[in-house]
Amino acid sequence: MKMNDDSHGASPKRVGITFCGGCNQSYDRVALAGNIRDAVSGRRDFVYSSNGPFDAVIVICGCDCACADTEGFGRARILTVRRFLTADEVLSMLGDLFGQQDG
Amino acid sequence: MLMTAQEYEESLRKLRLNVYMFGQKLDNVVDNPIIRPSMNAVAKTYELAHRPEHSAIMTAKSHITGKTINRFVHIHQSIDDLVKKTRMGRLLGGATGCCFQRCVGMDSLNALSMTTFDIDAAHGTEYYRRFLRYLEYVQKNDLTCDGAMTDPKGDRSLLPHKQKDPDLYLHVVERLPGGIVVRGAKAHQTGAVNSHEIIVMPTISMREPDRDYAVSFALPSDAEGITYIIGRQSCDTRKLEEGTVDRGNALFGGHEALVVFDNVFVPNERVFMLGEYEFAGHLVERFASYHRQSYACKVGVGDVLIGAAQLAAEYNGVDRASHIKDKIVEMNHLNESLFCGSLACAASGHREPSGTYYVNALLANVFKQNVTRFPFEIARLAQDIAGGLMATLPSEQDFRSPVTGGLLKKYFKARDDVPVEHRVRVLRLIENITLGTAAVGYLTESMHGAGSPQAQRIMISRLANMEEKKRRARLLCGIDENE
Ligand SMILES: Cc1cc2nc3c(=O)[nH]c(=O)nc-3n(C[C@H](O)[C@H](O)[C@H](O)COP(=O)(O)OP(=O)(O)OC[C@H]3O[C@@H](n4cnc5c(N)ncnc54)[C@H](O)[C@@H]3O)c2cc1C
Repeated sequence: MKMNDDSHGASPKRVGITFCGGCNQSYDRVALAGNIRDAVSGRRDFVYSSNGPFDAVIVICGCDCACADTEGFGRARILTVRRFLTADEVLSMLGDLFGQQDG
Repeated sequence: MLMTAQEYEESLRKLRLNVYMFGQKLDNVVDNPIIRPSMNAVAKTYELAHRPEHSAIMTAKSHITGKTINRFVHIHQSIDDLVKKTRMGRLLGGATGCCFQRCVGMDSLNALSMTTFDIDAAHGTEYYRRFLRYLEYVQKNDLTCDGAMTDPKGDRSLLPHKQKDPDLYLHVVERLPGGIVVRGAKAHQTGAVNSHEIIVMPTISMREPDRDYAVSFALPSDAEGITYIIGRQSCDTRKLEEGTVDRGNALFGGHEALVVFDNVFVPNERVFMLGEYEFAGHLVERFASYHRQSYACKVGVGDVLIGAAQLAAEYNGVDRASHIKDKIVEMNHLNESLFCGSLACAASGHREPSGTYYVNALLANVFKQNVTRFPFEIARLAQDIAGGLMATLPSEQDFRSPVTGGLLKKYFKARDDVPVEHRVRVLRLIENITLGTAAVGYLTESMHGAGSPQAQRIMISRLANMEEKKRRARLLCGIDENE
């Protein structure tokens, strides 16, 4: 299914991805970001966007310190990831953030 | 502007540096196989600034233009900036496994931002305005600056003006209407020929008789009259050999050089201190504290070395032995203790009158004192775990030879599922960091860079709050201060 093919009529949420600086990451943050982008394509509830404004921003942090700056994203909801998760787990958490089912 | 790694390399090609190595003048510095790995390491500071997964610590917003700049040309505006500087050091140390050379210029710029401001406040001079204009130029062009503090110093028991040869400390030899002429040298200059600019500072506190030595300025690295003589590093000529295995670190390295100033003209607008001898110590102390914080880079190199030691243990089949596990724990304990020190001096920094944030000098000195010790212990443990082969391995050519290759692969096989080449590569990396080219950065630079151990002990004795400690002791044991 195409990501914009929303059978419920609501437009998909625009999701951005940002990172901490990665001084001592405990997993491959870039790989996780790639997995999330791949998993988002083909969904109707979320669409990946590299530019704001965003409805949600996934902040991929390399450790529990999660020092990434999350200001500057306006009213976007923030989902902070601190350890390696599957893309599905991340998207499910994102769904919870919006109180909706997976697409 | 944020230069890319490619643009950085191109910019170096335009410099007309006067460089000597092995008794020869170099026509092409950038492609020289001994120097190129060090250029690669500096280039990493440009590359990572463009990567979204690192830009949060690699870039900052300029306080003078509001533009996004590389953190290496930023003046710290907050505690967060200081903490990010520490994190950046660890990141790049881990990414390169060596000295990436660019911190010394960052520390010089930050120290000068405070000292020029304070000199102006005391003397009504215009150094801070000049400095800001210079800083804007450096930020706009995303330049790499060599921070040149250490003079050759001759007889260490004599003050600069008492040396038999007056050039053993860099000094002003002529004052002209448009600028000054300087002569002397700076020793051990990290990344000198990978730099666009060289920022000169005095190396010790000074008194009135040394006023001609109390001088600070910046010059383009290819200014007329500057000569670079590249220092040797242990195992350096392995970079001239075929193959990459014996280099240990196939991509990155560092370099240092003696930089000679032979009657070099410095225009007034690039002079940041001229004769204000009472501020020489002020600048040295500020630069040194920042630079001591910068040794967070060794934590990143330590990450690489600990990783290599763990791999060596696994390849040898000893990783489950309790003493090996304990040694790895100890290496991590030491490495993370170092990280704590650099973070602590950043987190307890403060704002100076110029607006620049300055690290906690006591903690920066305590941290650097530990840096003069812990990497040596981490290296000792890595060598223990690696086994003697890290120092007795035959060459890559012998492994490739049809005559000896088979024998070496047979007798240097360890765990069955690990290719011999992997074992050899990881042992060569441990050799590189603890005995080879990278040991210059990981060990000797840890010892002497940013000041030898005694320099930190002097600062610790000055900065430790002894009166308060005595007062507390008296209070608790019942001594009346007035008795
Ligand atoms: C790899 C490396 C990179 C470096 N990079 C840079 C750089 O980029 N820029 C820069 O400016 N500098 C750089 N340095 C220089 C560094 O700051 C000096 O090595 C350090 O300050 C020590 O000076 P020195 O090497 O002349 O040793 P010395 O001053 O000769 O010290 C040797 C010993 O003598 C003692 N000593 C020295 N003088 C006295 C005295 N008057 N009284 C009592 N004891 C004394 C010292 O405490 C030490 O134990 C680098 C050094 C290294 C090793």
